Amino acid sequence: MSSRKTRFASFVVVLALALVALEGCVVVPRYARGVVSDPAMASSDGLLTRSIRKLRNSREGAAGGDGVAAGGGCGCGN
Amino acid sequence: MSRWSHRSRVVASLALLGAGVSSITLGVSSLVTGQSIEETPPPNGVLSIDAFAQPDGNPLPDPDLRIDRFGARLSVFHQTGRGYQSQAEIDASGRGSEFVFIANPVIYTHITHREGITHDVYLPIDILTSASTDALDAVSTASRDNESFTLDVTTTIPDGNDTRYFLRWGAHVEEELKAGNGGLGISLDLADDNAQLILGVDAIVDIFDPVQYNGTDLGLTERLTLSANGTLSQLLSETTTLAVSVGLTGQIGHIQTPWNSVPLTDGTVRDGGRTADLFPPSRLRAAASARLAQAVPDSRTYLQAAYRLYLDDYGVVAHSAEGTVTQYLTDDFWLRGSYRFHSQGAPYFWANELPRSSALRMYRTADSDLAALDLHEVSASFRYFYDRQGQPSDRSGYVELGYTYYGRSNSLEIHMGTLGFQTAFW
Repeated sequence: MSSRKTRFASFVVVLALALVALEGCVVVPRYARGVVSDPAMASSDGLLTRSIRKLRNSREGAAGGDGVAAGGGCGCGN
Repeated sequence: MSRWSHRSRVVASLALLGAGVSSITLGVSSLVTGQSIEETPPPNGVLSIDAFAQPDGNPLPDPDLRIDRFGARLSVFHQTGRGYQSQAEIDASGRGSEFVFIANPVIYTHITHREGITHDVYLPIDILTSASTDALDAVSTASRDNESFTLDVTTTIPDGNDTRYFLRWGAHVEEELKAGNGGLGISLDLADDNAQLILGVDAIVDIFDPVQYNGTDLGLTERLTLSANGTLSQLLSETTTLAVSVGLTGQIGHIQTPWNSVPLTDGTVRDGGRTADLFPPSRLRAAASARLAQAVPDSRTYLQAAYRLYLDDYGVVAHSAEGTVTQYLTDDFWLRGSYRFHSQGAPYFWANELPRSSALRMYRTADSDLAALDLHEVSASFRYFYDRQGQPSDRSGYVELGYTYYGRSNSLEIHMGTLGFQTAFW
């Protein structure tokens, strides 16, 4: 199998696993969501996330591709 | 161009930052002139302008525009390393210095309209001092000293209880480069708010002067970046969440870093010459990521694990894995630690040197950021919630101190320190 096909297959597998994981979801009532609304559960954290993202996007050739600007702004060409 | 000393520029930016904080604070104070917050408890623990009455007894009207939250963060980056693309202080191995120091203050504010329209506004400033490439500095200081200013705004427009539209817009200015960006997005709450789907598209236009490694000025050129992104977040239980994202980014135009170059050889040894980087005129990138978050309420511990896969048509494949542990030590204080491992391959045209006879006929780069590498990133931070009004939330006031170590297998190391705070007015 060519490397291109291998990469595409990897991509599809990740997506499939993610979709399978979503299958077993339960409905959590609003009154029971106190724990998951804690900021420690958040995937991003405003200002801190920006600092970390800046570090990664300007120093890794594999940045971007996830809807976040890459190659814009810093002129670093990544 | 007038040259401030590096230290004076840092001091000046901090002064501006402080002035910004003062003016915001004064502006909010003027809204409640003549009223004492302590004397008039806000309803439901939330400060509201309606809590304050006019002399005739009627409540004050809601302002058309109000500042809900304000935050600021200062991050400093100290980077050392060696790369073949750099001409600064070249060592015996042929690699130049990658030293750079960056001070990056950022101001953030969350503003709400009467109709529920909100604006998240970020104003980052970069003040950069780096190793100099002598030829480039004959016509530009962009590689040695640089300042950049960015405006980044996300406007959110609610449409009913479950739908929100996003408008993203902004601009970026630095020496030799100007950029503008715009984007649209939609957020849908699904399954009784147990899931959220976010879709968005963005465009960035960069216009810049690609001054070459030897000082040659090619005149203005441009680069266009288009991105499409989707994220699905789902509650899996009362203590577990999962978020899955996929994205695609396409770029066309002048993609390579203008002042980077590749050492040349006469076929066997380096002859002292160099040639500018040359990339294919387009690049297509794709990434998929998943993040699982788990709370342990009994110990007030929060765990996150994430994985990201990246592919592009330059032949780069990358894998990233990250874990984060957040532990509340008291109701007001948390300690957070995280570790990330990243491994990436190089583009098919990466080389640390090229023979002079064939170099000009091929795409090429020696940029260490694009080399095949592994890296380790370790972070620790402390956060103190000084104004949480019950359970901590994204509206809580806090101060935070953090440190990050970033080390790559090709010698680059970064130490990043950060100090930030947020305060809420509403």
